[in-house]
Amino acid sequence: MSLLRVEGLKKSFGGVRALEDVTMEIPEGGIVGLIGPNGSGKSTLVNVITGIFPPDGGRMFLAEQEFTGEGAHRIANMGVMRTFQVPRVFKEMSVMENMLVSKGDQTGEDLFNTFFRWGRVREEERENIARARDILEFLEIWHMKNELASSLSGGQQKLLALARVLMAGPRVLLLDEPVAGVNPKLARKIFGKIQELREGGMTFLIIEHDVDILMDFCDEIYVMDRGRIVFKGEPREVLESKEVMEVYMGG
Amino acid sequence: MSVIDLPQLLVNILITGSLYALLAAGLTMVYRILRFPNFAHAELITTGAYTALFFTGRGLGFLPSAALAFLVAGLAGVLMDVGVFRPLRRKGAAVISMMVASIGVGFVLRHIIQEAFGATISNYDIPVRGYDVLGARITSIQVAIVVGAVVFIVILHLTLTRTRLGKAMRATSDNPSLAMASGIPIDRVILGVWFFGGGVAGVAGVLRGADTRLVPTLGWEVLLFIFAVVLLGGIGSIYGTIIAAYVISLVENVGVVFLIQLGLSASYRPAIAFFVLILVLLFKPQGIMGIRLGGERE
Amino acid sequence: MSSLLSYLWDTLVYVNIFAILALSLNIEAGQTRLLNFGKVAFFAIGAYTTALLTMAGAPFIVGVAGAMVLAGVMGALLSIPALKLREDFLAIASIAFGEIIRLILLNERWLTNGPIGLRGIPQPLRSGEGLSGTLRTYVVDGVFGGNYEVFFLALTLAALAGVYLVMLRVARSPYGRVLKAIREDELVALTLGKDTFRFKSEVLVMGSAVAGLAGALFAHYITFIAPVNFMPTVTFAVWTMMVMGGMGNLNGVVLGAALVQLFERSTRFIKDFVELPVDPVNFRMVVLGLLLIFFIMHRPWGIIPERPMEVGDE
Repeated sequence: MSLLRVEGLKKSFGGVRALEDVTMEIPEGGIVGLIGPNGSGKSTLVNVITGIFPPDGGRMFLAEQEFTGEGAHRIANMGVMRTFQVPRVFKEMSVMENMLVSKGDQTGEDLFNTFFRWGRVREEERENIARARDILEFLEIWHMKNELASSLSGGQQKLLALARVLMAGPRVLLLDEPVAGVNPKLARKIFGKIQELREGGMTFLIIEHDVDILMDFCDEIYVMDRGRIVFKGEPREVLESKEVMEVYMGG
Repeated sequence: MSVIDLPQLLVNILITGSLYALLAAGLTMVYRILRFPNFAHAELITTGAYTALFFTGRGLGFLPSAALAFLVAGLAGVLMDVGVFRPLRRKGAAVISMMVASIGVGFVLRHIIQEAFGATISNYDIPVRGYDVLGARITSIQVAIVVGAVVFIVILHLTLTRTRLGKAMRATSDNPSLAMASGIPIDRVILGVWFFGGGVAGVAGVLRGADTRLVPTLGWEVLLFIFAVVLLGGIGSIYGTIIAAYVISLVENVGVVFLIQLGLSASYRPAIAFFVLILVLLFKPQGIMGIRLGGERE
Repeated sequence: MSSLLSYLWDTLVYVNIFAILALSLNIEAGQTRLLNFGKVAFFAIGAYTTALLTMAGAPFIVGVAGAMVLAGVMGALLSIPALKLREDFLAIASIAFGEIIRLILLNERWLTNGPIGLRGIPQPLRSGEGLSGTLRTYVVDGVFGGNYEVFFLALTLAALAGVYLVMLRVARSPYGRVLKAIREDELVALTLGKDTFRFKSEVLVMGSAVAGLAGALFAHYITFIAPVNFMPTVTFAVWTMMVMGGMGNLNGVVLGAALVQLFERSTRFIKDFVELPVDPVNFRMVVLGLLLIFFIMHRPWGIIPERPMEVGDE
């Protein structure tokens, strides 16, 4: 059964059609890849699914529950979350603060509780620090916990952005070029971690510009061109597909 | 004055709209190219007004004094950029820093002017003549405002469409990094925008001062109206701004008539611009001819 | 000597009131990056509300509470333009809001007495019978030896301490952390599931209510208020306090308020003794403006920078 399903999504920006009739299914526990040349609409698709832009047409479902037209924070709270191409860490906050803020549904995010249920807030804070520690240790940046995020290297910021969204506990994670600008060794490591997470039951949609890296990791790959899905299949089929060759060789 | 004096109302709309177009042009250009609202634009207007006061007070004619006001206010704009905004840009400072710094620059300039010329009201010592046009009164200064706006619009249109500078300006506004990559000297283009925008603001200040009176808060008093014009026109759209200037002028001049009939004070005139401003922010933040800025940040 | 002492008490009252105002700006601009350039409007709303209420016979506490509530409601109104993901829109709308409030103060004579303003605003425990008379005997006469100035100083200090503690709790809570995240990158905060608009409106309500409190104390202290007390220069001075002290750091903001007020009061003081070559108001504004520009350019984190939380290894 598909966990995330979108049907006939459409989106235009001032007359430019960024998405045309995009339909996609992501099975629970799967890793689905999405490739396509620059400007093919990959990032727009992620922006529409996560509620940053409302779609002009089409419907979206999580576990058969429709969420079309919901606000971005509601969609996130349902469990559909994302990362960005640029890590976009909270720069003037420490690594640990980046982690803690991400946890959803905290007692202490309410003003009343902040003043009148402080004991409960403190207790939750201890649990969240422990949870953040597990994730930071898993991604091997625990030693940076008290550093300002701005002092991290580019690669470390990518890891922090991933750690931060994991802290929020997504059901489906949309990764927008998770390894762009990262050295090949770290890229392999990140994909290794993603596979471990999938074995734990998490579902992924991974956008990549570069086809090769997805081959070893994805169950299925969608190819986009000029706002449309032009191909869907297993990784090895993608390599043999005439349509995909045309897209990339400039058809 | 119970019946609406239609010819006078139309003439007033034309005059106020022309003045707003001149006052707002520089602000919208800088806003577009540098992505921040320069609150010190108000003081560029005031600088121009007082420059002309200085020179007319020393016997220079009104027109040469207005030309010097263009020069001085334009240079003040250039100095702002070189002294404050360019260093901030180089450091990669956020939009918020630019805005706060511009508030600071504005206060410094306003109080330097107040120190030099005093806080009291001044007037240019020039003869003002009145004319009757189709049953409406119009002064020679107001004629100058309308003519000035027309001349400015023509010059600007020719600059933007016919010259290399104009093309470079548009390219830089649309996409600074792409403009830089294609060899446009964007620092010089930006300085050009500051000079030209500041200069026009300065001349607009002279006209406003001649039409009303001079106080050190002259620019600050019109800032709200200018922002309403810029936002309605669509940030950075020169033609949108010109249209919006006349639209806001219309809404305001007609609105004042309603205010009086509702028994409210005509001093609530700025409130009319304020409500237009809020409505634009809420319902049409890209303005009537605006280009969406920063929509997708990646 | 006694006049010098009285001058000191007066200065300290101003420091306290403006520290409260600066803290109210800090939770908006310093912690959440909501650029409120119309701060003075909420200060004015607080001052006029308590003045009108207490002049009509309401007790001090009711006046202050009314000031905070009305200012808070106005803050909720201002939060509407903050719906959009654009920081410049709120800045422009808030300036406009400040100017409109000033227009109302100038024009609605039946309510505000126009440019002349309101005179004879009652002071707490200054006079009166019954409970307030008894309290005066015990507190002003008993504890402060009949020195009303020192009593008022203590009152403003208590208010500042209260505001400081509230702000400290917020800053150290998960709530305050979300505010910082909105400041750093609102879109990311949104995609992590934070209802950023709720947080932003709550912050504007809180910041405005606290500004209303500062305005109320100000009105009861100087006992007559007029639109001229609520010019945009007030907003500008408060911004300088916050930026200079350290945006986001409570101690820094209080220090900034103290420094700016000491500077401001001393230029007033000096004027009485020395013939200054320049107008003190112009001098003050140019210096504050240059300080604001200097700090934004060269020390944007202020005198006392904000510090992130630290966690240990266990």
